[in-house]
Amino acid sequence: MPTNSMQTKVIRSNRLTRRELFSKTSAATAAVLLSQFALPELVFPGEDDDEEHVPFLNLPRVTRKMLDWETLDSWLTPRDQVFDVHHYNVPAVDASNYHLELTGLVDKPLSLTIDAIRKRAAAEELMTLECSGNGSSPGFMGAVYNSRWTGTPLAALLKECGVKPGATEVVFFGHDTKNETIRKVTVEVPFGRSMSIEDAMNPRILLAYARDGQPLERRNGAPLRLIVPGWYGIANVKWLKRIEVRNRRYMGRFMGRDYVTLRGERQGNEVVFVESSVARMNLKSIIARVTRRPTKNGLIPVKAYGAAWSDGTEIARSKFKSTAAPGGPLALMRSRDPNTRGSSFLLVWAI
Amino acid sequence: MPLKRIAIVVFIAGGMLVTRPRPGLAGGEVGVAQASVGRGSGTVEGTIFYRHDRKHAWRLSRYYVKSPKIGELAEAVISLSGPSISRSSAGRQPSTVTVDQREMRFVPETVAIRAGDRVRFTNSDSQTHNITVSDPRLQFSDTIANGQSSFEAFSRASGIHRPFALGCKFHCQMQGWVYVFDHAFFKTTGVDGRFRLDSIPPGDYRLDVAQSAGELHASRVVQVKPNQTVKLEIILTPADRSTAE
Repeated sequence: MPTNSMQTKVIRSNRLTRRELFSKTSAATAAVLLSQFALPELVFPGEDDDEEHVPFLNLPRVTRKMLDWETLDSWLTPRDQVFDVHHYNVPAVDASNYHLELTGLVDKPLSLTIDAIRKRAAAEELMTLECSGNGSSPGFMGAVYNSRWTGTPLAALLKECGVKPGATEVVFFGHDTKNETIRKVTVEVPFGRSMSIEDAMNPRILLAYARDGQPLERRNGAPLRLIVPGWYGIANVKWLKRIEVRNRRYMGRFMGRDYVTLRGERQGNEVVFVESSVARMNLKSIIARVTRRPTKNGLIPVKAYGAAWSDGTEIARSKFKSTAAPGGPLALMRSRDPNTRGSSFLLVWAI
Repeated sequence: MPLKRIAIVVFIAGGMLVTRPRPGLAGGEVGVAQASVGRGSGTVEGTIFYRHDRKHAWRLSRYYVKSPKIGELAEAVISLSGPSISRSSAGRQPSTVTVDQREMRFVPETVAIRAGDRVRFTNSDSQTHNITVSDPRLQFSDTIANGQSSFEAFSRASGIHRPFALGCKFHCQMQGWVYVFDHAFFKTTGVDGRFRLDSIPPGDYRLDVAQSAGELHASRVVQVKPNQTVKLEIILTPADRSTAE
């Protein structure tokens, strides 16, 4: 049972209110939530015996390490469907020789072994981790997965180190490196991403060492990765090496050159185009699979199963449209998914 | 005297083949030999099927099994082994097969070639891809952009049990297999699950079936007689699933 000694709030009632479910509260609440619901339950209705899968005709084959939408039937993504993307190399980091450095504008810099990190107060996050390039091509539609991550909250660690006044950013560096050419200069750089102090103090951010109860796989960032609920995969730095608190903006490749979005914002009568680093996940939905039952009275009973997910902002409503349903009711249902906080990933279906 | 010696060799070899245990001999085999007089080579033909089991569902079966009710299994590799197999490649011209990378997958996913043949890898995707083989017997890593090709020779046989696995170092989901044989008696099934092996010297053989995407393996003993056709229906089930040979 995860515990967090920093928290004093206790939820006594067994019935959590909707407000409590949706509020961004402490890790203690997370612990209580998890004790109520040991695992998010399968929430699609059971398939009828005569329910037949109608395959999509225009999607390329997807076999491994991608979420297989057409067989989606559980909230936690099966291990063989979990993707991984890397921009630099895939380092083999020796956990027995490992140290996480926490340094920069802090009163007390730290160097922690994996054992020391594991001994700290642990918390869990049920999170949807998505690549920001997911959906960019028909063969890249399943770069998203749901997992239970275990780790120690970053905010508590930063507080213990004592962030100095004037610090503005926290930078996360990985063990993965590459020779990058930046304006004619070629240097070996580590993978890096950063966020503001305020963002970094979100109590839900974890330094994670386990996924679905198992130590991280090398391809997913072993032995330690940053888990930032609600932010795209690029922010969830793998093979964490060093956390640095700075008073100057970090402008690495994945903050300032790649993973940058362009948006036109209306300011008065003008549209001003502004670039910003990719961070929070957009709201998305998908029809995962379609099934049919035998034709009855000239109509084909069809069911569409799907999912909707976001950065944790509550999904207000969803709608199902079909051009092929001239008659008959079209009811949209939402799963009674108890885990609707955080990076919400709802399982939905329509008949 | 030479004839008698050959007969003894065949008999002993047949005995060894029969007594070696093989996993997953599922039922449903039909063997029919058409009687015919005269010397010559024989034929083995048939269909590979997959029978579903709801309790042990094969998540990917929809890509490889044509119709769930009948179960024709595609992309299964069949090969013969036995002492009568000629491993000579004298006078044979190496050929080249093409494996494309498109929509983030290797197409075709499974190829079976002869030792000495080449594979030409192409990239039809807009993304840069890579073909990596990392195997004790063979290593290469070719990075190709859209429109580019790379050629790799497969000089060493892999056999039916341990094909060379293909990957892309940029895109973890891409998978493929290259089976390499040092004889001519192999086939890959199409969507109809059918295969046919011709010009087989008479004798006793082991016929192996492997379907990599489903990690399915099966084995039969077949007796090839001159000018006869052995017809087989081989039904694979989840019981035939194994991750290593």
